[in-house]
Amino acid sequence: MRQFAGIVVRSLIIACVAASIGLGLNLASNKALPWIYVPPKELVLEGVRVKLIDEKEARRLFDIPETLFVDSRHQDDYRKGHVKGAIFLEPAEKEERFPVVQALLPENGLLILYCYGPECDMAEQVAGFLAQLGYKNMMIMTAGFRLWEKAGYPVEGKGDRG
Amino acid sequence: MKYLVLAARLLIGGLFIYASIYKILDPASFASSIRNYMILPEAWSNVAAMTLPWIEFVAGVFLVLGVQTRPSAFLTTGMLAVFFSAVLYAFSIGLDIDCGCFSSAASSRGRVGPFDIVRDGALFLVSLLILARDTGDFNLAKLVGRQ
Repeated sequence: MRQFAGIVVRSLIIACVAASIGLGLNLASNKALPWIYVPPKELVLEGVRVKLIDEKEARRLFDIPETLFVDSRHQDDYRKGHVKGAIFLEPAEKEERFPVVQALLPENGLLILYCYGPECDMAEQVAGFLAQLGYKNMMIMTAGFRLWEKAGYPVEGKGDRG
Repeated sequence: MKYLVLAARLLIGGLFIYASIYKILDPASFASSIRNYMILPEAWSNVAAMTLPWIEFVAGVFLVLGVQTRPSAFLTTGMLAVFFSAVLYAFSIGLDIDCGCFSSAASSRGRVGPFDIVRDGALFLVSLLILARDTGDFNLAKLVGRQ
């Protein structure tokens, strides 16, 4: 037991020294990360500012007729359920799919893109693509479909969550 | 048994050194991966990304050299237990590590599969073997002392 306690103490010392090296090198780095991660409020994609919003703000904008939701998740998941009225445009097939949905995506409207959740970057990839094509009025609902659905906001689809 | 433990030390040590390099070189990307697992509060992800790879690296080097072998094996076993639990959790909820999403799409390449679970489980047991059975053979101090 005492021998095991010694192993634990020595391992903690090794871990602390190694962690200190990491923290020290981060301080010395010209690309130092902040210790506490704070999610950004907006992104700049291809020169276009894209505001990051939560599901509550997205729900408020949902009632404005000029707003259109763009679902950037995988097609299987879109079919199972999506924000009511959302257009499907996933990053993997955005070039092929865009001509099909272009007529539904007015450049002067507000596009709200979403994917699964906060760390999913699929909506960001599609927003970057649309920014290249000249779309300037876009937002990303970082909460994703997961929290939209959880909040009980309007959805449509097959409803098969299995 | 001592040769088996030596092989285990070289395997786990080598893997930890290898796995830590890209994380040390690109901590921002590793921080993003940590957030994708959604286990830690995201505010802590940067600190974890700065420190964890160095603990992996130092423990890996110590295992290969045979310096502080059992404390290092305690660290690698603990980390593998956490990785194994994370993979098991990700698999159980269908998490897609590439996008931090709960995709059910077959086309999703980032889905955690049975292979990941078996691999991490096996590595955990190999690391546990070092912790339980290392007797100090082939460590750096002994090898230097023989010269």
